[in-house]
Amino acid sequence: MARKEKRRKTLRCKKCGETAVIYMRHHRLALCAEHYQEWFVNYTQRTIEKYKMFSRKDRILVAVSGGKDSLSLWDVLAQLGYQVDGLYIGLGIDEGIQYSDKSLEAIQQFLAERPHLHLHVVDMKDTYGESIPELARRSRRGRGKPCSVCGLSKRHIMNEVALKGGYDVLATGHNLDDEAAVLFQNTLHWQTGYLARQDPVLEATHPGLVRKVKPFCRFYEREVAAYAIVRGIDYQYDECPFAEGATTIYYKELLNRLEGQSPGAKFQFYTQFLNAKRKGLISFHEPEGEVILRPCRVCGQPTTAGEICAFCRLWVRGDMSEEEAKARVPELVVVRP
Amino acid sequence: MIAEKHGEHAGVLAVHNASEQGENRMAKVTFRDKEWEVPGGKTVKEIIEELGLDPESVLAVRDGKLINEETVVDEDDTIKLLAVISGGSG
Repeated sequence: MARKEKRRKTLRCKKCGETAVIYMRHHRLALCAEHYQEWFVNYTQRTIEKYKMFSRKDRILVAVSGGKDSLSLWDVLAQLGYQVDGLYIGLGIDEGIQYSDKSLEAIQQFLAERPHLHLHVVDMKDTYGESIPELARRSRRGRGKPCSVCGLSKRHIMNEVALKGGYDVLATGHNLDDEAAVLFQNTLHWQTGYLARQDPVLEATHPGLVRKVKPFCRFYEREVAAYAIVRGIDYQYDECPFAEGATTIYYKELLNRLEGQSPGAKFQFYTQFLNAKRKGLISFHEPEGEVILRPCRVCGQPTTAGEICAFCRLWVRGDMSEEEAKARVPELVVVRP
Repeated sequence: MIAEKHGEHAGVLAVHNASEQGENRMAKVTFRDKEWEVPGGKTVKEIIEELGLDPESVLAVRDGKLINEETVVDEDDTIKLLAVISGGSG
């Protein structure tokens, strides 16, 4: 009887006493829809300040996929008054569910309600002549799964658009679950180089690289989804069809099981890793010593991969002349909004 | 008992037939392409766990509004469960 009464106890918002829409056990905080939105926006600002990500003088490019994380990030940064534009990369993934078309539709609907925001679009097929699945099928790198080719292409295009558009920083929607899963994977394999680089802020170590930041790195994935729902953001709900069975998802599920038994475990795992690194309590080094970056002779972006960067090598061979090679990789034209 | 009406497990679990139960109405719960009927009086968290899902990995929506996991589901409710895990930055 007592158990039943306890179960029926209504969770109330800590601020106003209204029925809560979410309870965050690791923060011991229950909030209603209105106060959750307020808390979420303020907490993002605190994360930006904590890690000195950017200021209101900076121009920010946010990479948007149409999913909950990136659209919520764009929405929050715009609410906070930052100078923020979006970049969507059309990957050309269909796989029977029109994945890329639906992603763009979600962004267009988001923009229809926010006409003051500006979006850059780079379509893989239109720009480079091949969609990601086509490129993956043709290239050695993409055999089996296109995720490697996709990640490589997105990183290259995001960097190029940010630099040519004169942006100070590139923001992505990575949340704490994303970061904790990567940390878990890298720790399991003692990937010291990756552990050294994992940070909410990746400084531009070369004039040809843009600074990268992750303002949602202290939010659980369910908190970002909750924000998108209460904010009425109609995001692309479907998972990328190629993500099925991804290792990241498996690690996220493992960490969530741990979280269920030990609330705050994910948060502690990730944030204490960052704290320990910042205080110098732990340190990691690149296995081969200092990384040497050279400009790619086709696109000019810095690369560690020799004369031609990994992205351009998807299209060109080492024995091609510079003119032949450059003709194979179209130059992106980015118009400053 | 939670009975699945549609989806890949339909037929494996006993399908609840409302007409056989007289006046007993059931709440409807959906997750991806699956649908279940659930007796009223359970919390969202209890339903999620009985379906074999992880409460950390799903959110519940009723009438388009987010509801917390301690919310008691009424027999007339339609609850939509949403997966929140994705493979990378969405």
